[in-house]
Order: sequence, then C-alpha cells, then structure tokens
Amino acid sequence: MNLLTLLIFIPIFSAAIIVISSANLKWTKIITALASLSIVLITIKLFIDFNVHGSLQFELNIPWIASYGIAYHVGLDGFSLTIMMLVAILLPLTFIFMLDRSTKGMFIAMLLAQGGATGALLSIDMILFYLFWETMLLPIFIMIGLYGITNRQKVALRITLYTIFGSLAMLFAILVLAYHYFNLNGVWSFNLYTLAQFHTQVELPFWIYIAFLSAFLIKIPMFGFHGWLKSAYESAPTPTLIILSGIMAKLGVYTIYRFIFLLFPQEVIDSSIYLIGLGILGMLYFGIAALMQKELRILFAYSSASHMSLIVIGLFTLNIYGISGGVYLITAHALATGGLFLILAIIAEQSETTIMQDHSGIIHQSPWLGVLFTLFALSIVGIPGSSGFVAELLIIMGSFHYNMSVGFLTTTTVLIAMTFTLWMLQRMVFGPISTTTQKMTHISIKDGLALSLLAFIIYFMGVMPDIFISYFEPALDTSLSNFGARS
Amino acid sequence: MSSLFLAAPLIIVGLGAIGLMLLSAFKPMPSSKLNLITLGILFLALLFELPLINDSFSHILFKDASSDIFNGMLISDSFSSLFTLLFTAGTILTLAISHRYLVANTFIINEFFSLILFALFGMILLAMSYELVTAFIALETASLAIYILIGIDKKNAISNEALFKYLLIGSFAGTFFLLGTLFIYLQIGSTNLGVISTYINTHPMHKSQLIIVGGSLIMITIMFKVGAFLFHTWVLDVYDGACMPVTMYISATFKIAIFSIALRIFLVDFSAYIEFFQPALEALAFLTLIGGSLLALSQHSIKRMLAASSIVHSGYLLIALASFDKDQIIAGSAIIFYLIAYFLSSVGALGLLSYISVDRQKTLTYESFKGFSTRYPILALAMSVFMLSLAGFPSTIGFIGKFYIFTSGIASEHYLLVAVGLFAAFVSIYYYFKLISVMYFYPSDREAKPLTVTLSPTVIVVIAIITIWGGIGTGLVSFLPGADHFIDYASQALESLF
Repeated sequence: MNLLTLLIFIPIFSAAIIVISSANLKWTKIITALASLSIVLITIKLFIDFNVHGSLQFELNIPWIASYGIAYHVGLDGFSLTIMMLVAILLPLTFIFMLDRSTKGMFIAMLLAQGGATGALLSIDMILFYLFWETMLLPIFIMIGLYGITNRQKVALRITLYTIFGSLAMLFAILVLAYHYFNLNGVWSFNLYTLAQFHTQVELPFWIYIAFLSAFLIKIPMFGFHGWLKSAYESAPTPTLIILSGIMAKLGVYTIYRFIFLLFPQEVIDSSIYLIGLGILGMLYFGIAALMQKELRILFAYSSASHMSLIVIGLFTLNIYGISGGVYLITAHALATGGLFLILAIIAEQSETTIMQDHSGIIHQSPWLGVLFTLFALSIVGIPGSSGFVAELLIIMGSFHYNMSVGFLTTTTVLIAMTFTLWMLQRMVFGPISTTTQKMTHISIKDGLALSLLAFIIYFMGVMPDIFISYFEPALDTSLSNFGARS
Repeated sequence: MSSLFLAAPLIIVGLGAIGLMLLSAFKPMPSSKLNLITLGILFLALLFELPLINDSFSHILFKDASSDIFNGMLISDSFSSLFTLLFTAGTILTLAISHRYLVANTFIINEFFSLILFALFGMILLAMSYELVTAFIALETASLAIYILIGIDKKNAISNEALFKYLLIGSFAGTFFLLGTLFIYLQIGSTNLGVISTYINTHPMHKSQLIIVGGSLIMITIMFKVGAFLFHTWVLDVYDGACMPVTMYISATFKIAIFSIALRIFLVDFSAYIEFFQPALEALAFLTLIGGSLLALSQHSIKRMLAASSIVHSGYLLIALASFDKDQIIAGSAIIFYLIAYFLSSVGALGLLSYISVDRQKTLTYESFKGFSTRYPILALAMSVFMLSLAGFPSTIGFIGKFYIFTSGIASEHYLLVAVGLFAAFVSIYYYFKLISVMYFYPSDREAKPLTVTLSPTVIVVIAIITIWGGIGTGLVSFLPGADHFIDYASQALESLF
C-alpha cells in the first residue's frame, strides 16, 4: 500500500468514520489519537526509507480522467519530507492540546484539514493539487465560522473568498498551460514534470506566471495580498491558527518551489528581484506593525507574516544557502509559532485577556509556562542555539550572495524581530506580577510536557542542524543546477 | 434495429400521458398513488432506453426501402437516445424527490401528472426531431404543458402572474423560431436538417443571407428559452411563481431539452457558418455571466437566488457554445456533461427546498435557514454538497463540469471569456457559501420537526452521494461509471450526429 496515499487518507477516513458512526467525544479522541499515531509512524518509516540522493520517491500514478491526462499522482522529495515531518510533529501536539478543550466538530475539521494539506503537499498532478488545495479550505471555513471568536461568520466567508480568488486565477493558469502543451503535442496532460519539460519550446505570456503565483502570494501572505491576515487571526480558534500559519502558509512557499520554479524558471529569474523586494518590504512592514500592537494575537499574526516574507526572500535568492535557509526557517518557524499560539491559548483561557498591558510577571506566577514562552520567543528572534538562528543565518548568507544591498536589508530582520519580541517578553513575562496575571495558575502537566517536547525539538534542530539539512540539501542542489544552467 | 423499438420511449410516454389524462377524468386518485403510477410508466420507458447506451447508431425512424411514413422528420441516433435517457431519468428524479411536496399540497390536481408526461413527450420529440417544423411543434407541446404546470396553483396570485408572463413572452419568442424556419425554407426549399446541412456545406456564406437571418431568429428563441441575458427578464418571476417541482423541471430538464435542439441545429447545420454566429454567442455569454451574477447577488429568497444562478449557469453553457469554432466535440461534450452536473445539483437543492417548505406561504430566505444544521444535520450536509457543486468547488461533479467548460473555452483560445467565467464562479462562491454559513454558523431559532425517512429524503441523499461520486469517482470501481465515463458517452453521442 502506497505510504503517501495512507498519509493523505488516514485523517480523512478517520473523520468520515467519526461522522458516520456519530461517535461520542471519547471515541472521537481515541480515533484521532490512533490516526495521529499512525501518521507519525508512517512518517518515521518514510524517513528511514528515504533515499537522500534520489529525486521523487514513493510515487504512485493512477489515471483518473484519462482523456484529459489527469491522474492520481503523488510523490515525495526532500522538501516535502521536511514539511511532512512538520505536519507529523505539530498536529499530534495540537491534538494533545485539544484533548481537554475542544468539541467533536473541531477534531473532525482538524483531521480533514490535515488530510487536505497533506494531499496538496504530495500531489504531482496539477488538477489533483488544485482539488486538495481548494478542499483544504473547507474545514478552515467551518472552523472559523463555527468555533471562532470576533465576528466569526462574516470573517469565515471573507477569508474563503479572498483565498479562492487566488485559487481560481491559478486554475486559469493551469488550464492555459495544459492547453499550450496540448496544442504542441496533441495529447492532454496535467503531470507537472511533463508540463515542465516542454515550456522551453513555447513562449508563455507573463500573465500566466502572475496568475499562478497569485494564489500562493495570497496564502503566504505577501505584502499587498495580506488583507485577510488580521481578521483571520482575530477570529480563528487556536488550532485553526496553528494549521493556518503553521502548515498552510508554508504550503504556499513549498508550492512556489515545487510548481513555479519548475514551470517558469526564466520568469522566476527575471522577477526574483521584485519578489525579494516585496519580501523585504513585507518583512519591515509587518515587523513594524507587530511592534505597534497591543494585543498578543495580532502581534503573533504580524510576526508570523514578517518571517514568512523572510522565507520568501530566502527562496528567491535562488542559491543553495537561501533556499536551504528558507526550508529550515519553514520548519523552525512553524514549530515556534505553534508553541507560541498554544501558550497564547493557555494565557487567554486562564486570564481571559491577551492584551499585553494587562499582563506582567508571568514567569513568577507560572514558571514553567514563562520559561517555555521565553524559549519559543527567542527562537523566533533567532538566538544562537535555536533552529531559527541556523535558518536566518543561511538566509542572510544567501541574500548577501545574491546582492550586497539585499543582504544588508535582510539583516535588519534580526533587529526588528528582536525589538518586538524582547519588548513583549519584558512587558509580559518579566517584571512584577500584575493583577490579571494573578488569575493564572500553573500549566497542566500534559500541556507542559507537550510544549517542552516542542521546545526540545526546536533547540535540538538548532544545535545539530546537519542531521536535518542533509535530508533535503542534495535534492535542492540538483534542482538548483537546473536553474543555474538557464540563468 | 426496428423503428418501433427505437420509438418505444416516445410511444410509451405519449400513451401514458393520454392514459393518465383519461384516468384523472374518470377515476380521481390521491396524488401519492398517481405519482407512483407515473414513475412506473417512466421506468417502463427507461427500460427501452438503457440497452442503447453504448451503441453508436443513427436511424431515421419508420423509413425503410419501400416507405417513409414520416418523411424523415424523426431520427433516432446515439445523440437522441442519450438525451431521451437524460429526460426520462430527470423526470423520474424530479417526481421522486418531490413526492412529499406533491402529496402534501392540495393544489396538485390529478392532471398534473399527465401534464408532466406531455411535457416529457414534447421533449423527447424535440430530441428526436430531424426537421425544423417538427422541432417547433415539439417545443410548443412541451411549452404548453409547462405553461399550465406553472399556473397549476389556481388560487395563488403569484403563480397566475408567472403563468401569464411566461405564456405571453414564451409564445411570442416561439414565433421567432417559425419565422426563422420560414426564411430558411425560402432559401433552401426544405426544412429537413439533413437537406439544410448539405445545402449549407455546399454554398458559401455570402450567398446565403436568408439562412443567416433564419438562423439568428432561431437562435433568439433558443436564447430566450435558456434564459440568456437580454432575454432573461422572465426567469426570476416565473421560477419563483411556479411550484417547486415545476421550477425543478423547467430549470433543469427543460434546459437540457433546449440544448439538445440547439446542439443538433448548430452542429449538423450551422457549423459551416460559425464565424457569423460566434461573436454574438460570445457577447451573449459575457452579458449572461455578468448580468446573472449581479442578479443573484442581490436576492434574499433562496428560490430566486437559485433562479438567478440558473441564468449564470446558462452563461457557462454559452461559453462552451461560443467555443464551437475550434473543436466541436470537446465543446459539445462539455455542454452535455455540465447539463448533467447542473441538473443533479439543481434538482437536489430545489428538492430539498420543496421538502422542507411543504407549506407554500412561507418564502424561504437566507434567514429561514439559520441554524438549519442543528435541526437537520444530514439534510444540511446534503444542501452544502449541492451548494458546493453549483459553485464548482472541487471534489463535486460541478467542478468537473466547470473544468470541461473552461477547458473547451481555452482550447478555442477565448481567454477573456474564460476569465469572465472564472470571475462569475468566484462571485457565485459568495451567494452559495452564504447559505452554507447561515446553515452552520448561526444558532437555530425554532424547534426541529422529526424527520421521517420516506422517498424524498432518500432521493436527496442519493443525489448528494452521486454529486460527490461524480466529482471524484474513478474507473477503478468497474461497475459504476466514473467521472470520465459520462464524458465518453457524451462524445460518442455527438459523433453520431455526423
């Protein structure tokens, strides 16, 4: 049985089983736990069986709509393995967090979102990818609308519309691309690698590139495409935020690497300076916006967007340092923000407010929580020893390699991140205990252990990065050599 | 193949209609019993259509070496047999899903069922007609039955208004068809589609002005019946005024019938002159998509929203119709597949509306659906599936339908048209998802009445399952047709036209 198919469909079938059998909450949790455990085990098996020097592995290709060349085609390479590992770590920990807090509907929706995101991660056929990309939106729509907070009904619809606009533009680009292939070869095909090989023979209009890219720019979000960011982070429940910012934003970056780099190499090279410019602008803008926030949730939202812009900068430097740094920061950032959002949820439920001014001295009131908070926040800053440091170092090296001034501007990220993070820490975690903070109690053992495991992984990755980098670096190297040959 | 066997569905439905009419005159029966009798007649007709699915054939009816009774007016080929199958299955599903509605409402008189069969008879005749005047007669037969069906609720002022609106405008539009036939006859001397096709293929366009005029007039009637933009003013009021089963019937099955004659006329005859008609079709598609979307955005009543959205769906079909200049088989198969997908989703949605609104006085608006998911979870899930399919969301049959339509548009390089189509799809996400969000995200303000499992909810759930299966099903399960088999049947049907 194909391991990748299992990874995609185990969560989906678990959700279906829960719905059809009308399971009660206890059985829902048991089924979710079993599903998560099997995902973790399968991911470990993938790691063991993975051939570091191979290209696409664990492939499965079954024709689906044969007359149009659409197939169920899935495959895994170094980059997707890294993100799969992310999914396998982050989601079980989120489920552990949800065990005593969430209703049955949240579990079902999270499982479906996990299945959809995994499907989008592993698809090689473009229509299959489009299917998973769109359907992973539905659970998010339901979660924000049903379980969200401020203004949830309107926000759910608004976010869905914003994202689908990009997806429809992407569909247009996919269809035009496939049609050009059909025109040349007389056969329809939506296989990514088939379409990637022919584009050298045909001049594609530039707007196809922009249309295709727009879906991902909205998802990440890049500056200018970020209108949905604030309302989403204001209204969504915490597990949704973890999947939204931890998995789906990263999927946006991953799919740029997987699809855009393969299909439009020349356009990528030509437009890289603009996208890096957009990334720098976003990084600075979101960083300053984070600095101005009074409320913790939105601060995390903007800090997350700022780092996503940094990842995109790393990606578009088009050299091995930048892209490796981008991949590494994806992992580091997802884990760290996952931890931060979980902590935010704990603070919110214990003291009913997340306004920074109200809190002070968390570390004295709830030491374990305070330590974890500090560790995660410092990893965001990029303190040496954390995986964030390794990632940001690589990205900065990559951007210097690309261009001196770009490199100089990129280093400001450390400064900006340091400003809002350290200020937040100083105000909330340290100092005398405020009245609001006094309402907080010690963190529960279960939550504490889960978060400590997360922190351990983050710092382990920071101290011994080579174990992880060696998994994706050879694949990146080969794909970049394709680039180098063209530029 | 014997002509009697090929014409059996037509004969069965015709005799059934007359029989039901006599039955309702001499022996009044409760609607539930009559519904089952009608379904029985339809299943009998279906039995004669199913064996013909995979064959490719073309046979003028009742013509052999010695005699030609109907003078080549009727033809039975794969195209007509596919459409006959679609009409019969469509009527079966419509009647089955409306069972509770028909039983509960007293204005459903016994003649209702014979009228449905008369309309079906007209539609099958339309699919089988090989001659323009026959097509007109068939069209008018079906339309007359539908006019009466629209106004069947005599005491309701809105129904009466809808009846007269459609009667007056519809008859007026129907006469354009006759005038067009007249002009074509003037030039060619025959109204037989085969003779017209030979003439058109042998004469250049600049010598056939009368044919062009005639074709344009026929196109006006078709566009009117389909609800394209400039001819759409009747759609909202008529769909709203008719009772639910009739709205289902005209929005889905009747639309398929109009497209059957439109496809036959365009493909068999006017394909040589397509450069004249194509810009008009393109412009109509533009206007329909944009105008329909604007209309649908501003509706509060769900039924009117579905009516306005049916204008938008006609717009998508017009995109494919405007793509006929490049590849006809791709565009034609896309139209047929999309009609099937639209039929399933539309009948499902309207059927669900009819099931929960047994009392006609209450207009169902978005507000009435607040908290629907807490009252009826399974029905809410089915409604969400139908909304997703109408919006063209992936993993439903509606997405595959839109995929085929947009691909055929791109394959004939009408990029701007497809872009407008995609934009209309984006706008439609708003008004379809609004219903889903209202159902799930708001608390319920009334009690849930218990759900008895009868014919109607079962059919609703079955159609919802078919909608999902059509979107993701594959040929891996060999005995069930997968997502790509329907398109193969459609292509085969179209090829039998030539």
